[in-house]
Amino acid sequence: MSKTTVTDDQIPSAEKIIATSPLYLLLNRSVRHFGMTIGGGVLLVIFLMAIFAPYLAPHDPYDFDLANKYISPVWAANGSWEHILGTDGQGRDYLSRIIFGAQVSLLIGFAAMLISGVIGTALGVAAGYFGGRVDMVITFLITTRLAMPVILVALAVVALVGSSMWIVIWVLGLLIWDRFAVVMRSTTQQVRNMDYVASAQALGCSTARIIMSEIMPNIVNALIVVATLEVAHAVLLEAALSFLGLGVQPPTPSWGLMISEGKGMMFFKPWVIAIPGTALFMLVLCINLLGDGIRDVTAPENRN
Amino acid sequence: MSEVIINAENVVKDYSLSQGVFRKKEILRAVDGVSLKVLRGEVLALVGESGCGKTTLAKIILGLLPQTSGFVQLNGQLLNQIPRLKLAKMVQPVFQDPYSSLNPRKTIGSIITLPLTVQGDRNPQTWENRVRKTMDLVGLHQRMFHQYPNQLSGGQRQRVAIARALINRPAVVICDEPTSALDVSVQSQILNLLNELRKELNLTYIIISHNLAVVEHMASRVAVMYFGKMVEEAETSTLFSQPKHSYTQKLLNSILTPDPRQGIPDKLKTA
Ligand SMILES: Nc1ncnc2c1ncn2[C@@H]1O[C@H](COP(=O)(O)OP(=O)(O)OP(=O)(O)O)[C@@H](O)[C@H]1O
Ligand SMILES: [Mg+2]
Repeated sequence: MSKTTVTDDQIPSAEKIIATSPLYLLLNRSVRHFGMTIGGGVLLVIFLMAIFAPYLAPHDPYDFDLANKYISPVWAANGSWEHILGTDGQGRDYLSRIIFGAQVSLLIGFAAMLISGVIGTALGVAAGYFGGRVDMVITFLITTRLAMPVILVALAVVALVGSSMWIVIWVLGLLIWDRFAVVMRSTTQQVRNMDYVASAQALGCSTARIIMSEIMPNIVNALIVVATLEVAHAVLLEAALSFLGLGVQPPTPSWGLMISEGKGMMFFKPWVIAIPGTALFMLVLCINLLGDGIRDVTAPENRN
Repeated sequence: MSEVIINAENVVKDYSLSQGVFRKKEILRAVDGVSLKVLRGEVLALVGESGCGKTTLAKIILGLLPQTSGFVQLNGQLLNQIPRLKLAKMVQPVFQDPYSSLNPRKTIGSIITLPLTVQGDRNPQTWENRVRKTMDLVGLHQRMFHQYPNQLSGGQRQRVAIARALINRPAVVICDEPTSALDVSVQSQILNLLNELRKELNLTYIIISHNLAVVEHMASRVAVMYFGKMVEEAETSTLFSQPKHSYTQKLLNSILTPDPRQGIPDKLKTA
């Protein structure tokens, strides 16, 4: 490049925008988003903890030792490094149970979210795109679903068919699609009225193509935000069901179950419920922080 | 006399306003028995006040809305019997708002490539080249190929919409207020571009506009709509000098500028 003449492509700012890939810009913005970094970071730690649980847990989470029950955590006066977070009423190592409990929470949260996400998105997009009768029927389904109290229905179903982790996942998945459907319906309605959808129709695109390549990319932000909220929702519902004794069954380590098992001792040994409670709180908080962050960072008006 | 390319007969469009199962049906007649012929190679302007059904009629001709009764023929063939992809090669729209007519999630290149993809055009290796040529044709810089719509100005976006409409060389282009969302200085550029493209590619235009100055500059014939009905149809010069229908007279008198030509920028007159 000669320095004597300034040509169009030497203007640095214009060329730089094009040279940097959208992915790079996205990552760049993500790192600068404080809440998202914190939420995503802690969530990543919890994920790794769940994946590598067998290597990280200092003890077998099922190993009970009634002689050593309710040992205090290490920061209490009579705590020991042998059981960093103490032991529960059956002398099982609390830290190991928390670590393995992350597996249960994340698995149930994500699996239930996937099931409800598929159902809710399909219904919501169909209602928003086709309108008319289709919309009327689906709106009726949504209203019907909203009229059912989730916990009560889940309790009734689980009481009838028995409870296991996969039953809990399916019951939750089949129950919590309403927010997906409501949000996807209204965002699809908005996008459907845009002229680029009319243009695609005028170009002869099939309905499937319009939904996949014109509608979906423009509602995926909202979808991701709802998906994170629903993971958190499912995690909390699992904990509630387990707390009520109708979720994951003992001796599986589940945070909700741990709170339930510890509730008898909560005035004498508050950490028995404080520790799984904090874990639950952190997980839900981080998922929500991540969801909000994703919404902020991927907004199209942010792109330049 | 050149051939009739679009022939609409007695087209009626009713919108049903009531929603819900139990409410009584209420109907709004947006287009009320419109008949219209468009000749190959002409520029027909469709004017009329807001809400009189111009966009609705355009959408029916584009095959985007089904009419309630009546029929539309393209090249002598009934519109609803023409396969979707073939219809797309015959008529294409350019919409008013360039901010809503481009998918914000796609690059300019892929927006303009879409018509080729949809048509299942053979020789995908030639696509990029053809897209780039069309970008040249409408005056878009090549570096915009990889940019997103929000990095473009309104006028540039409208050029993208025009490129997308023209890449498959349709016979008819329906421009629904193609310049009213644009800056005054950009309006004339877009209108001149449309005029040049028409000569170069032998296009037929239906131009919907509120701006009578634009109409006088672009159109060879004008059709006036009033409350869903076609009230007058005439050569542009005849209509401007001897408007027949009382609504047309009112329309001409209601222009704020005494000389309609003052409403558009100077560039048009020199072009
Ligand atoms: N989807 C719809 N449902 C019900 N009514 C509609 C719908 N679309 C348009 N209308 C009504 O039909 C009439 C004609 O609308 P149309 O958009 O064709 O007007 P227009 O002549 O293009 O107006 P403008 O110049 O403001 O663009 C209006 O009264 C409008 O309210
Ligand atoms: Mg209109």
